[in-house]
Amino acid sequence: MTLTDIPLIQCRNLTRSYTLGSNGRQWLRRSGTKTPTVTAISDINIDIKRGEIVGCSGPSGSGKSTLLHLLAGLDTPTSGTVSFDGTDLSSLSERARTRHRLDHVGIVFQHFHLLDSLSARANVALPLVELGRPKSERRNRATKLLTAMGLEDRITHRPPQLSGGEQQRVAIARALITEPDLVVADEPTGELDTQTGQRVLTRFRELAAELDTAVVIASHDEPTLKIADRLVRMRDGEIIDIESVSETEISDQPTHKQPMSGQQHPETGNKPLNEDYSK
Amino acid sequence: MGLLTRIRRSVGLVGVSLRRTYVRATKTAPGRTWMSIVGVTLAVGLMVVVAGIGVGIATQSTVYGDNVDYWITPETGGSSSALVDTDSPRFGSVHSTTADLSGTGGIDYASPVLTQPMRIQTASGTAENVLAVGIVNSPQFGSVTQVTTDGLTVGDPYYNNEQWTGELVMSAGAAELLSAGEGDSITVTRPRGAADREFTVTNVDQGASSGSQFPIVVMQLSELQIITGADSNDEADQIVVSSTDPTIESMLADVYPRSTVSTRAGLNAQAVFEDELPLALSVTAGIIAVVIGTLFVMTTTGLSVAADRGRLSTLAAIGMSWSTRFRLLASEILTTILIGGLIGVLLGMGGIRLVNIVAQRTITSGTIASTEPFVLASGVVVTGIIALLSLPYLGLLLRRVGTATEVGR
Repeated sequence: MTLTDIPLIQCRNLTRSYTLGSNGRQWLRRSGTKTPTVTAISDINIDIKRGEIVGCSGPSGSGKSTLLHLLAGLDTPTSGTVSFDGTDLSSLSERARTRHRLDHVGIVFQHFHLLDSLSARANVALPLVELGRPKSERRNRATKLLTAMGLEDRITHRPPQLSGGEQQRVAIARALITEPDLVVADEPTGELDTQTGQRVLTRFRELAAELDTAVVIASHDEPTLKIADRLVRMRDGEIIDIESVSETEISDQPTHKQPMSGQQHPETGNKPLNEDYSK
Repeated sequence: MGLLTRIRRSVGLVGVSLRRTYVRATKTAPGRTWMSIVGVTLAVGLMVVVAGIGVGIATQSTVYGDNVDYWITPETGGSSSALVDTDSPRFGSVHSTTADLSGTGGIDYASPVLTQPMRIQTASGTAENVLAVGIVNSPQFGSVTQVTTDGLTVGDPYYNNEQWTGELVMSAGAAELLSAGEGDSITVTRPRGAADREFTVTNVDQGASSGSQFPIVVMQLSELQIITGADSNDEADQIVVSSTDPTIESMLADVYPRSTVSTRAGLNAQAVFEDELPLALSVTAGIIAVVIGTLFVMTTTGLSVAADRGRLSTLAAIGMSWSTRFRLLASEILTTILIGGLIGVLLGMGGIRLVNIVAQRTITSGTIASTEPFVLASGVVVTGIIALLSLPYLGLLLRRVGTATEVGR
């Protein structure tokens, strides 16, 4: 077993439930339900290796975003564990998890969440400010990344002056600026045209290949998910299928096809998991 | 994390904060930003005006209004009430000393001041105790203890050529007490059995200032020295100096050994703290300003954090620590408060000017509010207190709002 074969992330029996607020409790009382909680994901088991791109598909409310948040260390599971490079994220303090995200994780949010009062370049360079990098380095790296995203003429523009697609690319650049070990992206191409979306996905692929970055993409868009080495299909908070994208055409209906043990991905050489943890 | 990295991070954060503040004030959230600034401005401005009136009230009974900038007094237990202390240690050879001072560049004039309680009697037989103030008059003198010096011959004729003038200027209070007027003869009984001295009232101060209401008479210094026996060593209680040159203070301190030089601002600040009403006024104004300013800032901070909730949680999500987020927002709030405080001080100065203009046109010929450095400094202090009180609330808010788990909800 080589170093790259060791999973970067290991999820074991991952469950996340949310206690409902007062409105939710009133609704449950009316509907006769006693437990004031909803389970977003239940008993998830999955390993993600360095350099691997994992797609995550499923209808709204299937638990994709919750899984992404747990993988990124934004949230902690109700039960089960998320281990990042051998460290259980639940055991970390809030402060340590914040630092962990800064050092190891890049996050692309569905709604971008850029700071309106800062330029595109300043938004992208924000994580480097927290890392205490010199101004020249911050500017150079942000400019380079924005140029790679096709935004070389929008560097000094603020988010309100950018289109939705341009904002999304700025958000992606911000996630990549620290060259993280893991990138989680929620609908990263949702606002992009086909050509630009392809450009972004290519950047993800390059990142995975060059820096061994693991990429987890949640999307409704099947062409976007074609970039993935493996595709995780979710429904009602559970994984219903994990399949190698190279082996099957992505279709609207899940195929429930199980990955073959030890089989390598033709592009990256990554092996699918020997053990299928999906239920 | 190394020191250099920490410095880089702090400098970077200040840069981000200033950019955010500027863009928010001009483009993205001008309403909220300016509401904070206006809140602090009004609070500090109000406080400066009220404190200015307080100082004005306090100083009207002491030195404000006299055209004097420095007081040289012998070292005693304190330098309070510079112009009404009596029976204190005195300076000697004051005529020659003040003549030397008056010839110094940067000094408009200098005069010894001798104060002595004295019993005087009018021709009609009315006798009362008054406070006699002896000076060497000068065209620029104007007034002493808020009683005019007009009516006294410039210089000190008796000291220079033994020409007795017998000039005596009465305050309105003294004139009323003795039922005396201009041209009336006044007899001063000399101690130690010496012959009585005759004076003539050359002027009665009709000013509305509070000092003029006290029974005070102003006369030539050497003539008061003769009456009181202070002529043997040419004594005076203090020396007043008019000068706009701030660098002469140290020089004045060397004129006499064991002397204290007081400035107008120092005496006025001291007067405020020794007089209960102005002090109460100033403290109340300060407390109200702090409360109003802090509530304004806290309200707008709450609105701002609530509106920024998503962005703050994003910052947490991408790895910005709580302290970084706090420092980022704190810098913005401090910048806002600082701008508000500075504008407030300027507004307060304008307010004081307006109060004085209105007062002079309606109720008094003098000023009732003062723009002493002490008043302006209090505006800056209140600004700082508002900032200090607002920051813990921001910290509390950030503990509850804008956490990473909120992102995407």
